[in-house]
Amino acid sequence: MTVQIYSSMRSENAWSLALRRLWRDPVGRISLGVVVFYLVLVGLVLMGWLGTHWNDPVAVNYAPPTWYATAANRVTLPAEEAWDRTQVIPLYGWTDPLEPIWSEARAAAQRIQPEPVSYRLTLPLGADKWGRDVGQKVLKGTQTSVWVGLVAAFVATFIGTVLGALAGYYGRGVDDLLNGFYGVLTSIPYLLLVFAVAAVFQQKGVGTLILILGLTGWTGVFRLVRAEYLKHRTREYVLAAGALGASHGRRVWVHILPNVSHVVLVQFSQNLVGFIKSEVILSFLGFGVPVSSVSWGSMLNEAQNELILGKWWQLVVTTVAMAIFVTALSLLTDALRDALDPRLNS
Amino acid sequence: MRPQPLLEVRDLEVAFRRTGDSPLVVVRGVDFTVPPCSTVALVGESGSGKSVTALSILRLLPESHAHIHERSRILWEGRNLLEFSSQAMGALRRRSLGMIFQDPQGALNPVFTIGMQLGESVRRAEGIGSARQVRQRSLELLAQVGIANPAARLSAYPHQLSGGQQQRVMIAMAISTHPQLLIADEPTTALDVTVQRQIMTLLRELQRELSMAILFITHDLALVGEIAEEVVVMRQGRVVEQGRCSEVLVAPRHGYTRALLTCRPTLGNLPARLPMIDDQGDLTPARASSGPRSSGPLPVVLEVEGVSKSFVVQGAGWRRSRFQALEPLGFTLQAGRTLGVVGESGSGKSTLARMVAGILVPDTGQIHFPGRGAPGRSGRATQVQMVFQNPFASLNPRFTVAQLLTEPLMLQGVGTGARERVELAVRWLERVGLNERALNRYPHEFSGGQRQRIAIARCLTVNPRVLICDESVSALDVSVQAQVLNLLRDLQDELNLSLLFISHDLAVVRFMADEILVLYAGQVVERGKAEEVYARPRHPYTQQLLKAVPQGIPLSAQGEE
Repeated sequence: MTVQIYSSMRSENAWSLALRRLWRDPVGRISLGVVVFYLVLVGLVLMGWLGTHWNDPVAVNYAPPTWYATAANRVTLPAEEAWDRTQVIPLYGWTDPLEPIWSEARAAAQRIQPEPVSYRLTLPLGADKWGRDVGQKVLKGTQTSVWVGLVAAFVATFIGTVLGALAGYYGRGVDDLLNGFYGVLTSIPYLLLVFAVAAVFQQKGVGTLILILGLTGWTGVFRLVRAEYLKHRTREYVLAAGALGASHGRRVWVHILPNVSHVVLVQFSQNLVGFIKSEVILSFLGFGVPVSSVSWGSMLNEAQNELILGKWWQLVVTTVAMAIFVTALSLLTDALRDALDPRLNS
Repeated sequence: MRPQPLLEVRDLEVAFRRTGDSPLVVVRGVDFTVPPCSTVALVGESGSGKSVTALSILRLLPESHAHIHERSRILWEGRNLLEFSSQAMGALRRRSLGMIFQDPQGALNPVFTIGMQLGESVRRAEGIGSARQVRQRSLELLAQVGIANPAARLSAYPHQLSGGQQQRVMIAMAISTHPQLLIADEPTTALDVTVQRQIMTLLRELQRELSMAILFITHDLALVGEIAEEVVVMRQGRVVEQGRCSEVLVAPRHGYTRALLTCRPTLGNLPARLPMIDDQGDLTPARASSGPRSSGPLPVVLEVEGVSKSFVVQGAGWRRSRFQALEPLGFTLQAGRTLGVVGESGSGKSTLARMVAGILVPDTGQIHFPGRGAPGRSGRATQVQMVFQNPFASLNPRFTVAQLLTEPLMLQGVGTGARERVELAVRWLERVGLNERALNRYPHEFSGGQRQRIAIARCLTVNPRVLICDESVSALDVSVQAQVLNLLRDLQDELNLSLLFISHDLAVVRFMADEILVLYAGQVVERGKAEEVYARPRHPYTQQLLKAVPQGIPLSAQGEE
């Protein structure tokens, strides 16, 4: 009987209250919508339903962006002439050491009948230097950047929360040790630290990028979570839990953590914004994703050369995609902080 | 003919706007007048609208949230305050109104010296600019509010003063403007009894000296008699009774006023159960004592021997000093008895409670719980539990009541499954006067009294033999306090609980305790049977404490003493 009641009547908890407050705030509602839209896009790209053809040359070089494409919007380039090497270079009696390879290549070239390729003259969002669709690229790039940001923010928040909780709750030696570590890490200029970690990994890739950002970005979370734990560990509800026989671990993770989770969440979203921008900066500087991949940063890196030639569209598309997401995320972070602030409970 | 009143509040109605909800009316139809040079007390429990009324007079309510009804009028010497321009209102606040608050520490800016803060209000009030004149006037004011060595205090920072001195500085700032009306919002609630007595005396003297009127806001009807000529009793936003103190306090007409007067334990009157106010404001009568409780030899459940504690105080730079919070002390507690520990802030009473509860480790001495097995860390939890002062802070806000109550059961291995533990939790909830509907709700959905009941139920789930109540009823309204005190008495009789009852409120301790321990600055100054200590206090500090307890005697009656 009681157990039935226990499961059927759920009262409104702090999280659903906060969500309701977030929803009441128009800025929160809109920014949440935008962020969810991006996350859905990222999910679709990850599943392979969108943006899979970003690396295919589908248009002529630097095809300009147009929204009304006519049927004649294609050019069929003649098939490239079959590669033939009739000309014989005089070898003055020597045999060509590459002759077996050449003959193999010739045979292969004859087997392939190059078909005429049709290229688009314009694309809705234009094409890059190699005729790749900027629309496809930006989808894939969004996925890379947001994914890197999300995972790195998760790693950083996790490290920061665990260390901050331990430092703040246990204090004394643990706190001194972790604070010293924090002090050393934050005394190194950020970009220098990032480059140093990148140099250690000696490998370009999404995984490396995540590790770099995650391992260097936890300090802010650490500081705030530590402060919250310092404040909460002497609160009466924690003392009461101790008097009731709850272990230290239980007090740290079961009792206090839910009460500081709003700080963690806000830090997570702030880190997300910061890491997405860091990814862009790193890729722009050449420390980011490899050429086999595309991200907002690598697109902006390409765009700087294109801009000199007057090809503005890749820059604009990337910037707009990034600006909308980052702005929405920042606004959402603010709205979240307001919604989760226990002092504003009314 | 009566003189024109200084302040007239006519049909005041204040509503708070709520997003997505109809406005909440917090004050309705409040009428009262403050004649010049007199003291009117506004009395009520939390939520009665007394502070909102005071803030409406000062027009300090945020206009974006609070709406004062168009028909309400607040007349200052016959002119409606609510129609003043903000400049005119500012001038009035500067010249004719003074205000002091409950928490002087919060009202003083911690980074400026007393001299700078007092000087600022002096400069604004007097329109004098020369530093020497300002200093002169500041010194006068400090002397007037009874601060010793005012010249040295001018360069002190707020944290270097005690709570009572801070409140005196606040009063000095308030009277620097020569106000005609001083609004005092619970000015002594955060202070110790003896300091409260001093501040009350000071306010009374200042009123006579400066011939100003005082609007005194308090929850404590006993205090009203000490200062006010007229009293307005408020409940849930309405005035339930008003009149001259000598009449209202002696022969209250309304049941609620009567309840407020009687449901607070007093030093003289000792029923077995206090009278309680129900939701309609009616009074459940007190139950008479059911004869003295058995006083034969009882088993000892708690033995404290030579326990002391000191804390490290961080000084400037690397300097550290030790502060002795509690000198070695010892006592024993018998089954089913109550030991009352009385002391003012800083006396070490909470340190004692926390050491017995196992939250702090004593520097010296031992705490035994004879009778059951060796008290390990979690073993102690089944021997002793603690009810904290603030029920808003002692319950984890992210836990449901079911989680709160089943957690200790789980930790102590009581009950075999979630279902059984929930059933046990329901039993305890019902025992403290709540029911199973509370299970899935969060602490913030309950009132202070209900939360304290939940906290008590949580302690009892593990069947402790000793329950520590550290100021457990101090944060509660008088009527709720009576309910919780009665509940504790009932539970004690039923479960043969021993109580370590700690409070600064001597009347409450008198009501609960069989024996008394008086602490002063970490030392036991007096101990003994409750009746004897209260009847014949030997130590001067105890005598002083007892004298400071407000008796609720109207001024007129006091004058005849």
